Amino acid sequence: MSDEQDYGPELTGDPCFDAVNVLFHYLDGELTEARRTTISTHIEVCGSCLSTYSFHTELRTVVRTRSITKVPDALRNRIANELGL
Amino acid sequence: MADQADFAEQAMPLMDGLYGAALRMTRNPSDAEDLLQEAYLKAYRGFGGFEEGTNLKAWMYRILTNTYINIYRKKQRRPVESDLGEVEDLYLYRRLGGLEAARTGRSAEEVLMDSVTEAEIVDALEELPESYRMAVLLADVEEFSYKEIAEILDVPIGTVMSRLHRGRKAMEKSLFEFAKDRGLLPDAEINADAVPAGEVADDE
Repeated sequence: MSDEQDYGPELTGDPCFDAVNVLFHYLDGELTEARRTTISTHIEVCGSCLSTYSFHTELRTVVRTRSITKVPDALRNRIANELGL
Repeated sequence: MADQADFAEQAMPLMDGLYGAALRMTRNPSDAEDLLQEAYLKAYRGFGGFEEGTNLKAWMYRILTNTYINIYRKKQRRPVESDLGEVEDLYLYRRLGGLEAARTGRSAEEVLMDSVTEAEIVDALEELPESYRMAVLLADVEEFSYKEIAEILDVPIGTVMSRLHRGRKAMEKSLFEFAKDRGLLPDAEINADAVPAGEVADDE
């Protein structure tokens, strides 16, 4: 996923501010390894940021797993037939 | 050049995800079925032009998206989309109690799991204006990278990021409103002036 290009905002040096500021980029896997390490090192020692990150990780999982839909068999077969597969 | 015979093996397993995306785009099962069928037909016919070794999943989603834009958006004659309002950072987390909830033995995650249904996730996503909905769907459900989403939607990466940022926060706000309406939140319980429903005071 990460192509070692970092689209996240600049870090300010205030670890809690930075952790919230790059939260989405972190969860999206869009930080460079170095910046990812900076953030995860902080989260490990900061209860408040750990709590924030756990929640948003879970929220992401909930959104993904609860919006997974299976294609109806009839439709799958119809498409396969139409394509002669 | 890709072989037509590979199509069944490589593209057919992507159908569940693409169907889900078609549903979220059209918000209508009948249109979603037609859209998916049309997209697969186009992909199959165009598969010879697919460059082997590149990203087939992104290629398929791009075809789905373009098919949707070309056919169904015109048909639906959707009004011009209003912009999303500003929603503060950590909107849902703070309202579900955040760290305070964890201190009382019930984490914000647990409150989240208890208070949000599958239907509400879908509703919150489908309520988003189209451009935001597509970005959030591609990132949060299909787990595409920013770069892939930019290619699928044919917009700059900066636009992808801002749509994700605002779209996710708007979704958080919807989820909070749904949960609040159903009276499932700790605050709602605390603020309720009556005894919780189903419970009667013991003494008299």
